Amino acid sequence: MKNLLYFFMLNLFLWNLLSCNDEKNIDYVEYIPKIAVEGWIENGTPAIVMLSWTAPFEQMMDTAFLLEHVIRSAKVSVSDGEQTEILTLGLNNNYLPPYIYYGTYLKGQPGKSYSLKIEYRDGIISAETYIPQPVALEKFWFEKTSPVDTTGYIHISFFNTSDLYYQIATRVDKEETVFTPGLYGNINSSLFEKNELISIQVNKGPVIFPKMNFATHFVTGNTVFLKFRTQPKHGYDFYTSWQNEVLNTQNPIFPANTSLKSNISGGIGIWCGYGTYNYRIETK
Amino acid sequence: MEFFHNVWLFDCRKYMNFQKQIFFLITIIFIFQSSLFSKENYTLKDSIPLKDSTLQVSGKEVVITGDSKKKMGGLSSGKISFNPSAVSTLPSVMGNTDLLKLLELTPGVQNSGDANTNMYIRGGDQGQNLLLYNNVPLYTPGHLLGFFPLFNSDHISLLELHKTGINARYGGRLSSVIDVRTKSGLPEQVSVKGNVGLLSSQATLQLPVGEKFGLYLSGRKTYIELLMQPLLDATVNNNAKNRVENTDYNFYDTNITLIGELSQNNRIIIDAFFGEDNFNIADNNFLLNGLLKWENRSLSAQWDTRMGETQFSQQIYTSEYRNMLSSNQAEMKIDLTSKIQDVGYKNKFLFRLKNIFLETGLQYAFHQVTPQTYEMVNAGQRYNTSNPSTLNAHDAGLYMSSNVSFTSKLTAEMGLRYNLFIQDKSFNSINPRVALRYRLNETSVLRAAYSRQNQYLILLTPSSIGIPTDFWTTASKKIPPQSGDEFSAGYFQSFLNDAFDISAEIFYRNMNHVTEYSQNFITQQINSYTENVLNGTGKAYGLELIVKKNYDRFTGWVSYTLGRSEREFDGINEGRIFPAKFDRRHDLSFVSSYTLNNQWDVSVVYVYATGNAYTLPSSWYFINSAPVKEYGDYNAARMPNYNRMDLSVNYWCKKDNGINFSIYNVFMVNNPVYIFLNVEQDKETGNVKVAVKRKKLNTIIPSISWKFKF
Repeated sequence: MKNLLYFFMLNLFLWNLLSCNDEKNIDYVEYIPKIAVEGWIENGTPAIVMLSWTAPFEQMMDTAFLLEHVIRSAKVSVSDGEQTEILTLGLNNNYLPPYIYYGTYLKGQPGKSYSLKIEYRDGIISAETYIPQPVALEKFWFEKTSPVDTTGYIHISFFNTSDLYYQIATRVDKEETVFTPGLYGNINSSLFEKNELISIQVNKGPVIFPKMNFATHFVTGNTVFLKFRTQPKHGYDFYTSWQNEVLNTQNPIFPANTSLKSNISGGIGIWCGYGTYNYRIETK
Repeated sequence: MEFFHNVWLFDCRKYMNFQKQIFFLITIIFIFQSSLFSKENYTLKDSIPLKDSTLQVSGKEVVITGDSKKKMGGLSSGKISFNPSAVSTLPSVMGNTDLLKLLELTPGVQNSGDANTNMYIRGGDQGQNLLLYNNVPLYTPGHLLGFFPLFNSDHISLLELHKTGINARYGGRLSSVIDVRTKSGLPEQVSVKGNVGLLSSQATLQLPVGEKFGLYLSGRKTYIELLMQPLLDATVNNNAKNRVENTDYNFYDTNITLIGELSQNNRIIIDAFFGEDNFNIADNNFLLNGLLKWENRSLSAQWDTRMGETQFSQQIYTSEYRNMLSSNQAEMKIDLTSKIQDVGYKNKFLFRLKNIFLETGLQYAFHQVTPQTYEMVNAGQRYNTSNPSTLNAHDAGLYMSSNVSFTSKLTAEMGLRYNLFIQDKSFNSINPRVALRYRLNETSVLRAAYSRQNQYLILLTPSSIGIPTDFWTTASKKIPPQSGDEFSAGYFQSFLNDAFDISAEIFYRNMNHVTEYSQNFITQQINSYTENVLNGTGKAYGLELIVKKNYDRFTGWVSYTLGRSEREFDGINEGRIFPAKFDRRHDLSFVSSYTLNNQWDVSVVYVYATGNAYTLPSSWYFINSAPVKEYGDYNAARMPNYNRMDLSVNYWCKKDNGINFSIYNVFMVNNPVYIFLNVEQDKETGNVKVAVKRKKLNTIIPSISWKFKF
């Protein structure tokens, strides 16, 4: 009987101990603001740069909160080693964040290197990139999944003449505001034979803004703008890690739990040069 | 055949001269062992029966490990052993006693949480435990998400955990050895034992074959696929936005043990274990559709012979583990497969020179490892980036250990082990082991131990939870072998006529070349998994306490571990020390059983542990107009503390026949499997908000099963 009493007393004690402990709080990590950079320069066009502070995880972000985190008073300059241009700030609601530093006269040229320098609050953020020689598509076409279907995929073919990395980015006219790298649309040229004719299907990348869309197909009747780019390794590394973050953030099997691979010194993000050919495709 | 062909080719082409030397050495050792064995100088007053394959010699005392009424044994020597029949009353998920999960209720074994089949012992990683099934290494510790135990407990006679002063006969892992033994005595009569549950059933047939042979045959099958989706709907799918659908899971396993008592001094044991799991999962949110499949197979033949008190045991075996993940994410199909296959030989020779008990042995295994075959098909374009392909490795060990009585109170188990591992580079090491015991009086013992370990097979873990996508690789030019030293000191006290045991132990362990693995699957450029392997150092230290009540109607134990496990990598957190994923500051378990009468008994298990360390984002920003996260320091955040209570009630109609009713997680505590912060955008307002998401697997799992024996 004494044993039974011990058994019940011990279990009652632990019962009470445990039943009080159901509420659980998340152990947040200390917020350390960093300056995030998203910038690029393509052949034939001037540079574009967006700057913002990273936001803490504690509050909902509305438009006012978003604007608080945009950096609008930095001195942003781009140089090709011979000329330097100071970029000017403008509003563009097609992007998040909506303020963009634009270049005007210093346009990208294949084979040239470009340095980015951001001066803000007594600090300097810098990055280097270069524009590889662009590679033109041999052919592109839209193919419906089945004759009776309204969905399908764009297919492209090109000769593997670059030693670097390719990127396919698309934007559906009137639906999307920015070019999004296609899903698995970052391609390492070294995985193919030199000068091999490569034919691949273009999968639409995950789009979050202005409307979340993870579908990989295109729909008939759309106009799709396609950028076929060559990019340096830092662009390839960054955008593969970006897609991994967007797609696999909740994937327990292959979790994405590392920061994007940045080439920015003094901040985070990307400064990338692209050798680009632009195409317009009607998905008929 | 291909495997054996590769063994031969590998030996002949690359290491002919070296192999000759090795085989010459092995032959010499074998002849030496045989010559010792042929001598009849050794006599034993009381013959040691061959019934149990584990012989522990401790000074003048000969301990045969066998059946015991104690639920847990071995504490005085720093080991932990479970007798399946004695723990069958304890709570179990789905009615199946999981001996490996029971180890988590003992000091030094970290609670792995829900949905995890891995073992974490004294701050080590999951790949640092040597799991032996009848001396044959197995390479995965469980079925899916820890729902079902790896072993059919009715087929098992003993499970032992060695984590301190590990005997020199064991090698190749830094943390611990989990030694599982099947039945080793001849069955006396035909019987069938098993249980029928709601989600799975199992049965074990004991069959005498003539007077000298006996067969144990066990089978287990789940039919969880019938209830999997409703179970997920009640648990994982409680948030409609994150439904996991079209899920299907099934497994089977079979154990076969044939025992032949050829004579009083000769016994053979042929043992086989086969298991296969299939798991289908579809998650529309992430365009994910996957099939996960993994298999365990082992086959061994053992011959034990004895002359006087001299014993000689030999075993040949093969063991294989493979896993395969076939995943369709959007338009991309990814196939990931990995495999490890061993063919090995072991022998063990026990003899006595005057008052010193000695054991020597030779172990050899040929490993054929395919770490990760990665094949990706994107829109008809196939990328086969399996590189490197199959790794062949020779793994040899030679050891000698002895039990010496320095005085009537001071005894020591000392050993020396030599390891040789050959892959694209040769590695060798010497592991000294010593375990001292000082008997203060009849009921109390002081003990201290030191052991050095080297590990040449390394487990890489891309998953954040215990899903078997982990894969094995070998030490090589690119991945250095792991090594570690462990020191421990402890005190054991038994009192009130052995009714209570108390044990306390402190330990310190250092580890070199431990690994962390991170892989991005949104890339075609997985030329070599070795590029994703980071190397660093680790250390673990702590205090382990246990109080155990052995007999009477009320039995059980309280186990507490205060510990730390830390890592230091050049490439992580800028070289600063960070906690290992399963670093547990506090780990408390309470196990109690009460036998009301011959028909009713009730058991309760409580677990409380510090949450796992994990990596949490510190802030977020936009790239390409999509919110992305900037992560904080590696493993800088903590999961909520883990706690759980399980309850079990047995009603016995007669001996070994009854009904078990178990409830896992009685209080429905939401112990998350993993936590993440998700950045979402409101479609109506455009506002962006951060949502804390917790993925949990188990809330409450009741089960009922009918246990029977005919």
